[in-house]
Amino acid sequence: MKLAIKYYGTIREAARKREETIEAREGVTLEQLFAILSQKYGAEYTKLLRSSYLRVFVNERLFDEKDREQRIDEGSTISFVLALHGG
Amino acid sequence: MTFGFVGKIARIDLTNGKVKKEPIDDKTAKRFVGCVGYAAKILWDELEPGMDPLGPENKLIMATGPLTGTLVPNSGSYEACFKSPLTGVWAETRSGGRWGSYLKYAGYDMLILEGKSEKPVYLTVLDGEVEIKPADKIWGKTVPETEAIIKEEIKTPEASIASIGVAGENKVKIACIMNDLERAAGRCGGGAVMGSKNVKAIAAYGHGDIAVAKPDEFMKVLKATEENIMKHPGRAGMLLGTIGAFTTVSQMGDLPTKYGWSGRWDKAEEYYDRFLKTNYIKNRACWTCMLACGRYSESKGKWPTIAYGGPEYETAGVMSAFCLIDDNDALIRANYLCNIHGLDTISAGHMAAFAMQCYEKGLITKEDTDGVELTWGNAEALMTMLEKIAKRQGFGDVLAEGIRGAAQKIGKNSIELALEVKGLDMPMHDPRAGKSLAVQYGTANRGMCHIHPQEVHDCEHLGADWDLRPYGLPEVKDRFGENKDKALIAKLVQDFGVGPDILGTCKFPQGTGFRLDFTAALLSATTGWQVSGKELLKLGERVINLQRCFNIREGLRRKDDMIPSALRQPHATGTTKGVAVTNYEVMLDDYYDLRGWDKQTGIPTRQTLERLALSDVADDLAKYVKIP
Repeated sequence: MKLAIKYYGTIREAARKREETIEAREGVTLEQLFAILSQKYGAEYTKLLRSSYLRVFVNERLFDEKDREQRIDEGSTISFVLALHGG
Repeated sequence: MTFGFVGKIARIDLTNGKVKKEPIDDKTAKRFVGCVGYAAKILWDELEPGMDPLGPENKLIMATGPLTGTLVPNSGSYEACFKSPLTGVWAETRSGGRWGSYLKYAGYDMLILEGKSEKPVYLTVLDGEVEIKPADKIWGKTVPETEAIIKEEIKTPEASIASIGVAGENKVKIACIMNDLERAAGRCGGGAVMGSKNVKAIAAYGHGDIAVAKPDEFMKVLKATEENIMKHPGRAGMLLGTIGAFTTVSQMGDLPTKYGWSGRWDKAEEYYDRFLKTNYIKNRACWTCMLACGRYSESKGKWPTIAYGGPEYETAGVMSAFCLIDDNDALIRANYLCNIHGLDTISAGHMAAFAMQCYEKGLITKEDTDGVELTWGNAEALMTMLEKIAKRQGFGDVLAEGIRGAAQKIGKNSIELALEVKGLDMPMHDPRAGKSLAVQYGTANRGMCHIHPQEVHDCEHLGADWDLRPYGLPEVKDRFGENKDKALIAKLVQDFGVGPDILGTCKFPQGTGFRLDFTAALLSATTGWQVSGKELLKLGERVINLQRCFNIREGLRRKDDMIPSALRQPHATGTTKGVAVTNYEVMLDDYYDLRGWDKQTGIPTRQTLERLALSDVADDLAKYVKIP
């Protein structure tokens, strides 16, 4: 199934893109998605993905640690936000 | 003499053209430190309540602190302090660049501008000598022209110059003080106060030293501080500039869009990408800065500019999403116009958006606006209005009065639409994205401000913690929750956020590894005092209460801590869709409890003032109000 990924803040610099579409198997969890993306992008990206400051939205809803094993629906948009401060 | 300070204040009587040199008072410095703390005590002692902020009796204090101009990171700051013509209450407005450092190298910690010059003048502060010079050649000029002419005239091209544009000359209530071409002491109308005194500019330069009490200790702590900043995860974000937060803030529902209708702008991502591709040139850093959050940009499109400083996130937000203007060249041009004319970009953009809101609602028409169609997204209308505001022409004269003044002139209950507290218009953060900001907006001494004392809600929606957990900063479980934690966050982060404002440094390093314990250790090594992190928080609390007393003496009470009713409406779109501020009064009660302020009136209790060693202030205040 297809999932849309969006990047905000410093993790966008590490991914070198604003958004992308990835293929994942049906019923993939957020934790499994992290593993797929870590493999794709390497250490620097993974460090940011695992940062305690990272905010994750799935379809506009903020996910926290306890939601990491929740299955993600086909066509979902996952947004990674990493910025400690506004302006 | 207190180390860190150079030890001198120049009191400049503009009415009589006299300059008096006064020593820094060690006791006052130890009690309130420098910058907004020391200046608050001067204004408390010397201003009569109820006086006209644009009259000669107001005083404009250009103040530095004990860390300004030292090797401490981001220490080029100064603060302009005065009674605001925009709000009628306490005003402090900070700027970076290098002017603050240069004032100290020139031999002064602070300048107090008093009275009013008969004719336009400018001041020079060069290696200890203060002179008042005629400003015939620069009155009416833009900020860049003013700087160039003065540098030529005083034959000191290295000088740092703080000046006003035509907006300040015209006493526009949202006029700012510019320095080093592109840095701004923006908010609360300091430019109008300077203009009301017929002072166009202040040039500073010198070769003096700043003595440090314990140099070895200072260097040791400095090294540890710098190493911590270099490795802090927040630094990477600041290197993207404040505008680098643009898309993030929008995603979090924190970017006020269409005058607060939503917290997310659906054009934000394309807009920011276009800025990077077509406008951004390079980063800029202030004096001794380790973050370089400033931008340097240009527009070659429909709204051309030379390469110039900015824009900041705040400017970008207010000139785009807030007015629905999807044109980044227009942003660069609007930023440039504000800077050369000396307009606060936040308030100027806010006034344009407020006018668009009134126009849409039919409260004003083309007949009122000199034929300008103030429709959403109209970049031409924005440019026209910025020029008109600076020059007080036509409808610009209405908007030049600031949010309350303009609403009063427009009438038709337009004040109900206004996003403001205490007369200061809302900047580009929305409390529906993190409720502690509602408390900050309601209670900040200078009005509806996100950054003075600090961006409290960054810990709710972005995860900032400023390393304040050991001092009691709670973990946020629900950013939309309205509970006691929100009041605690606001109170603690405000006390912490005053730190840079009394020390003379920038606020941004606070979130990027310049921890409270480092700050206290650097202050101790610089001055020779022994100050812990906890004591620094108490100093912040003392200064907040002194400024609060200033406002109470001017007549402010609990009703003036209320947030605009529009924020109680739910957002229309984005991750904050459906979220409103619903329980504000309860959060305010909790906040008053923590502060030790009377819930009925908002006045600090005598017990609170005595706890903070402000008994003398309580005695003075008791002459005007009944202290609970």
